[in-house]
Amino acid sequence: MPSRNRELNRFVLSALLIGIALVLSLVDTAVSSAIPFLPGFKLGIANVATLFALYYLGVRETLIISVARCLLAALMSGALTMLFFSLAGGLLSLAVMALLKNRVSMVKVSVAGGIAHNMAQAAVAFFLTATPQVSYYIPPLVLLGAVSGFFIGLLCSVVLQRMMPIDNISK
Amino acid sequence: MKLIKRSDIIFTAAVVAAALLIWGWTATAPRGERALVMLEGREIASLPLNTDTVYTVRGEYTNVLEVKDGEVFVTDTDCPNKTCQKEGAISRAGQTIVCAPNKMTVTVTGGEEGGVDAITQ
Repeated sequence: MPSRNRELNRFVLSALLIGIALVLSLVDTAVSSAIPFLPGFKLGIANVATLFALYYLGVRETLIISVARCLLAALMSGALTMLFFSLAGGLLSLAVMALLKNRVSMVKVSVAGGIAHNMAQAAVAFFLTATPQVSYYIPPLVLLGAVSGFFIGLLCSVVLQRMMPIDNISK
Repeated sequence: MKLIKRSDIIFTAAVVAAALLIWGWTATAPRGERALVMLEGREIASLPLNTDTVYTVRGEYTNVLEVKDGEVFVTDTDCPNKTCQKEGAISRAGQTIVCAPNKMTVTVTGGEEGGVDAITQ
């Protein structure tokens, strides 16, 4: 396949993944707000798209997808505070996952990313409220991050496995 | 490519177990005596939990706090995500309600400090 087509395919897939990530983060908002004791925090379901992009496209594209998703989601919900939370969570989890990617299995990368996502959100909550008692939320946040990260990693392994046979754009 | 390794499950289970342990430990803390209300990192009120009362926090937004039956909770707020309301009632030392948009937190503080204060007053 000519390389120009390959670049175009990567470009289109990146755009598609932004759309998927955006929808997933809206679903995340709906699902997460039903959790009574941990409001304001997210499960990180949109991480499915981020994790997939990280393995299939690379760090550069994933960074663009992640930031675009956060900005668009903030525009759609209209809550500026949520932008800080989602950007911090998205960027820290991406950094952690990119560092671990070639060292440990995908499920572990995803679990670490999920925890990092929630820790970043706790850190933002701490800076916004200037109250150390926010640390009270750390255990349930680690718990949720690990559990959702586990299933997201599993789901993403399945998706990647299905995509590999028709692969013509991954690195 | 194998979908999942045994070590993946062990790793996740270990993290979950550790989090549960620490969480369970904080949840068994003794019942607190006062609700410390902070706005932008400054203490603005300390409500005794043994007296039923209603307290309104006015910052960028408004949170209405209610103390009832030794528990404190947010009954009403005009902040955009209403998350503090969903956090429910807290009563044990260390438990905290956070309202990020209003930069407000409510923390239950331990019984012993309150007791000493009550005597020295």
